Amino acid sequence: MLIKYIFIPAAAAIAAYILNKKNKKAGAIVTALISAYLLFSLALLYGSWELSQSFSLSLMNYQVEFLLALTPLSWLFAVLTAAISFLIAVFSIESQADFKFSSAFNLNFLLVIASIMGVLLARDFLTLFIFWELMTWTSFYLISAGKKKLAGKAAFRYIILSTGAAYAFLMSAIFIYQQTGSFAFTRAAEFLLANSPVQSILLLAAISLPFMVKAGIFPLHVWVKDAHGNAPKEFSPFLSGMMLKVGIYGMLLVFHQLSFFKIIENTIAYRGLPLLSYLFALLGAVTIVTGTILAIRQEDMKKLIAYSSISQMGYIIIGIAIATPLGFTGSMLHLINHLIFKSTIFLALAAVIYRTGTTKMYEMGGLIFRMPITFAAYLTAIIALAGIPPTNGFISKWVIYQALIEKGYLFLALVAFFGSIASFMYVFKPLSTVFLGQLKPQHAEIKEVPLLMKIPMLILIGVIILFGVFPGIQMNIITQISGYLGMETVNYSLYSIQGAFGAWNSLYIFNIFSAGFVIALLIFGFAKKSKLVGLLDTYSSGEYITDAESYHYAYQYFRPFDRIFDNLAAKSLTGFYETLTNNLVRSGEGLRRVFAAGKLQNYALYSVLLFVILAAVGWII
Amino acid sequence: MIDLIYKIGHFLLITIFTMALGLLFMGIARKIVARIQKRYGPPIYQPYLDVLKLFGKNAITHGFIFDFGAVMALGGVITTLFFIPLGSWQLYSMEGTVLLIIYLLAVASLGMAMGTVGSGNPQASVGISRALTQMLGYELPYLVILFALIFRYQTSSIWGLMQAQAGSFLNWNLFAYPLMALVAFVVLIGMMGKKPFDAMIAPSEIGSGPVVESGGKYLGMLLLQKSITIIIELALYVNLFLGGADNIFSFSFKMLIVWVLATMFGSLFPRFRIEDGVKFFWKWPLGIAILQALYIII
Amino acid sequence: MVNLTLIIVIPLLMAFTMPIFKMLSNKLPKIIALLTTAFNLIVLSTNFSGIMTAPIIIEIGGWQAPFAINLYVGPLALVAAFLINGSAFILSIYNLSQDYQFNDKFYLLFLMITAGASGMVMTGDLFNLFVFIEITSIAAYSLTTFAGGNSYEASFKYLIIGGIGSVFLLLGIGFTYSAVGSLNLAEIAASAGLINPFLLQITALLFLIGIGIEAELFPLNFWVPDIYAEAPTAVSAIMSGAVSAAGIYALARIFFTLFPAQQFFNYLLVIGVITLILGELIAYQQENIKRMLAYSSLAQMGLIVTVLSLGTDLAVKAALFQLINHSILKVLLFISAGVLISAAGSKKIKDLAGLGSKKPTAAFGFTIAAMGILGVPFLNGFISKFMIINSSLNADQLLLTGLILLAAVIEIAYYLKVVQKLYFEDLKIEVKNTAVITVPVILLTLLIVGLGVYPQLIAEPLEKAAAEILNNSRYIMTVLGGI
Repeated sequence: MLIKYIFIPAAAAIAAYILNKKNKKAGAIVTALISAYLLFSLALLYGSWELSQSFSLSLMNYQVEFLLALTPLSWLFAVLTAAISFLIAVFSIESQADFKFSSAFNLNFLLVIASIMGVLLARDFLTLFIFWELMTWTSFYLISAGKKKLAGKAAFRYIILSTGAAYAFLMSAIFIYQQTGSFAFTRAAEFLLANSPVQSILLLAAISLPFMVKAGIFPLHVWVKDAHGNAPKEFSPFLSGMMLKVGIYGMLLVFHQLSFFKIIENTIAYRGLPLLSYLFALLGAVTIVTGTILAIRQEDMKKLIAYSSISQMGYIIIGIAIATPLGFTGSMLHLINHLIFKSTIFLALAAVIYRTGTTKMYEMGGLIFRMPITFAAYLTAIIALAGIPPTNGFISKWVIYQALIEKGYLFLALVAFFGSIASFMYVFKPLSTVFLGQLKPQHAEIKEVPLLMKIPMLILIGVIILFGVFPGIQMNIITQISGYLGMETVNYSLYSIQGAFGAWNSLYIFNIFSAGFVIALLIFGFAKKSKLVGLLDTYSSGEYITDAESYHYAYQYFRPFDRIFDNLAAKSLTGFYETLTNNLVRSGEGLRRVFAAGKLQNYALYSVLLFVILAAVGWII
Repeated sequence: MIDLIYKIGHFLLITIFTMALGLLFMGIARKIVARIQKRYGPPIYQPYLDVLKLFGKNAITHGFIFDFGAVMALGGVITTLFFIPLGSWQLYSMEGTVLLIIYLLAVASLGMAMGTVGSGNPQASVGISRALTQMLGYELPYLVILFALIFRYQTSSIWGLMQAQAGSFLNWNLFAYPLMALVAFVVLIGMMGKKPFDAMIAPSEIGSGPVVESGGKYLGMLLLQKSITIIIELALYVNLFLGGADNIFSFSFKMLIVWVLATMFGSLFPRFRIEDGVKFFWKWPLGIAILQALYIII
Repeated sequence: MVNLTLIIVIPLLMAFTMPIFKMLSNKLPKIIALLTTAFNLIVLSTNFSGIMTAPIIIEIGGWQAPFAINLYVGPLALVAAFLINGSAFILSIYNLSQDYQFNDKFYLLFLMITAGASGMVMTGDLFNLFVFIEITSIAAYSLTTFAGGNSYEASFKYLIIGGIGSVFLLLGIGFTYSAVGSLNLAEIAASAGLINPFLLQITALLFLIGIGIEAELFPLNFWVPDIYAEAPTAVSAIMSGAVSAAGIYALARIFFTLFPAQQFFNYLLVIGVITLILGELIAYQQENIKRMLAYSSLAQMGLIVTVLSLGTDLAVKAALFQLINHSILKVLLFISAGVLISAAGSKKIKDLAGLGSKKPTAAFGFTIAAMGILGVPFLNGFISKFMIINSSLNADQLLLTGLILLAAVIEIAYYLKVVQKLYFEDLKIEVKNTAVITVPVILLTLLIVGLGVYPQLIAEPLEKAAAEILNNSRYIMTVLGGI
């Protein structure tokens, strides 16, 4: 039964590939149908937390057991995956109509979904590793299918980093296997708890490496910008929305189910929190700052939002690391909310790319007049991202603030605030440069996107507002997860959440909001009607304006702010990694020149030399 | 039902009162600045006349977003008004209002930003870009102060913070934490866009920045929004540091004092460039605020 | 149960009658080669269950061992023989569409190299081993030159180095004979304790170098890139898939059966690791795809030797599985690369851009083989990688495991560069017509996926092979005592 969640998407992948060769839209339709199926059948499984399945295999006289089980945490992530895949698939039916790699895209996309299901349902290291690797490989192919050379390089970096980390994971997992005789998480947890803390922490650090890479945590975030930015436009929402979260899922596994928190419970503490946890929260804080500052500098809208994703992951990490009920709840809320509004933003951007063919913000402008629905989706989503009530983004941020203030973590709170305020800046930039401002003449005739692309965006807008007014819906599953992981839960009702210094009541806020808005509208309405004029008809101190291009303020929108950080941003972490790998590969060339230069005499000499050296070694030892 | 009507009436009354008071304060400010500059200046009730005139004029609009932005700006501040205690008047007390207010103000700014940038005039975009950057500058020390206060008094509602300063006037946070009060005052000047932090408006540089395209009822609505914003910011300061007040009149009096001081202070300086402004905020005010906050926490 | 000697005899017979076949028909040599290799495979299969119960020993000429030359075909030899003849078979299919200058001579040498390699793994006599090594090498030298151009130089280098290797081998054999008085492997193994330890060391070192050249170990393997790069595709493939496997077999025989000593295992470990790391690093820099595959091959050989030298049961099984996988994958890689190169008309990787759309079978073959080498789950490479890490950690070799994984990451880098170029870049050159390799690709892919999903298929042979090689007293018993 549980295996079908992996098997069905995988089988459908092949079907999608074949069908798509006949009809360009067929692949996306298959993907949409399968994800809808997954969504519904998973939704029906809500509450059945005892479901499990296991396979025993005799492999080269290892007795290996593959364990699958459905936990509240897995359920949540699986449902989110299915939901977002469904929306993206519906979107892509139209937007991929003339995409060169649409067959391969749908093949790999369904395989990614299948592998994520495998990762989520796995209860032992081997299963997790197998599906994690599959997920990495299929997403590698997906990212490569983007804008040619740039996408290729980005995907390349992604897979090197991912696989390197995954190998560390494998080493650690096999080591544990040799000590406990089994790959299962439960056995590993007992072993790690009973083992020496230092060794356990090292083992867990190796295990959490691939998760940290996937989640884009500093200093392993260097692949995110280019990969998310250059991936095919329909895959970016999934990357930023779901793949980052799978990394967080892994971290939760490590923290809670592999007893990381229990292991470090008795180590030195800082203000009531084990030091290692605090250091981890600090990592999250650095991630927030890095992501935010770099986002503000970007001229490419997808890369900007990619950096924003990194910084939002920082929030989630902080919440998880401080491990209070409020912190955890805030993180989970933010996780769900971020998925929703980030996907909306990326879908809106994909719609814009679909119509204009470019991602550079200074090449666009004034699109609100031609693509109003896309604008509405983008606007709602960035209001949520900036964390403004009455959207869902505010609630999750509010809970995290409560958690931080409750414990008095000044620095973390400061960074969280910084991230939030600065996010106003970077979300406003695409809004202002892409949608507002002057409409370029070459875009004067573009139309709004087709219906199938509008529907997902509209659904997501609805969900943002819905979760903003009724956070209780999300809290249901989060409470189950808290219970499952052994944490206390936070009080809540359908439209309110209990924080540390008081409760938040969304319904009330929403009502007041409407009231204020209505009053303003009345004032507006009773005044005199105004005359509509064109965009080029603006105040310019008497100059004649003829060309929209030079009248659009978009390039280097936040130059003064960027100037403050120019020195810092110049020392890029990406550069560090690149230098490292360049030196490594150049050593290969050097070695080749020394040894394999083609001179036969040398080769002959080597044989004799080897003999002499080994004989000498043998003599001495 | 009656209760609801009563509430609505109460709400409208507060709104109108605030607008009126705000406009009055704006008039007083113009008078003070004029006197400092050795002129006579317009009469104190000039802003009322301005608003009435503006609503009577025709205006141009650049499309839906321009209208929407103006409505959102004014709607946002009116919503925010709901949560500020003005003397003894408070419509709704709720925990978490301090942070909420910061964000609701952001709604209003976002509305104004959206609307004005939607006009297509790059000077508006430049102004908004500067405004957002500066906001990042002054919000940081401000949030540190708020954080410290919330932690100290273990409550995040303004009403609660106000109550905590009850008793004699020596309980005011102004005297308990004078450094923080000073920092908050500097931040207040930044928030209100007075010199030296008015690069975002920069009348002679970018044509008044965001409001360059607004005329007629749009300018009127933005003026009303500004007036309410002034009252909100002053009210926050008074509630946080001057212990609030029991009745609206002493409250208004305290606000007036702060306002006069801020105006006088703000008319003395030339303009900071934006990055200098941000760097300034992050150096001394932030540093002092952090020191004071650490002192409170530890 | 067909007599196993036929595996060596029939190809040699067919080889030397090639000129007659050529006279009959131009196409005949190819078909004969195909049929012969198929025949070999059938012979091996009929003997399969027999060998699983007990190794088969055939005394040539009816003389008893240790007076005569005997063939010893145990599970390990069977596996190796399957690899050798299997590669030859697949490559014969590939060759059906190739035309070589002097067609008959090519297939003559092709069958000779098959016979030689098979002989290497099946023999139980030391000098016989030497003879077969020489047969194989000579066939290799000549086969290389069929590509013209630079291949003469490559062949010449191999010739010289091979010659030096032969000298070392002969010296070793001489010393052994003078010390033990017999050339039979079992006899030598039994008497190993009697030899002067110092002499033993020297002899073993001589063998190490002699066989090391065939097994492609550092620093004796620099002939490999030249040969693999310049030779015709089928030749590179057979060298990589079959001859190196035979070399590893010989190495294992010598160091597990004849002269087991921890000291040599240590040497092999270090040499193997250096080969691995060096191979991977240099492979990354290559622009010529066949040279890249060559360095990858020798790195894999280094890996296999390293793991083999850990000496535990787990390790030997892992190394053997890796060897099997390597042969399958490399053959597929080489034939796919061959098609891609003929399509593009150039061996440079950057000229292969965009061929994924025009030559889907070849590109797919390359990709799936690359993924197999890199250890993607559900393919055979994953299982062997897993086993390698398991055995290496089991032997408490943390640093070694780290190095192996580092090499794996570098591998990913250069293979994926090619895969990306194939599919995701634009076509830059004109595509020419090439061989059709659908059948080999399908066969090999089935093997790759099959072994990956259900490795139990070869669990039994691996078990038995590992047990056999580690237990040299049983070897002695079987050959000398049990008859």
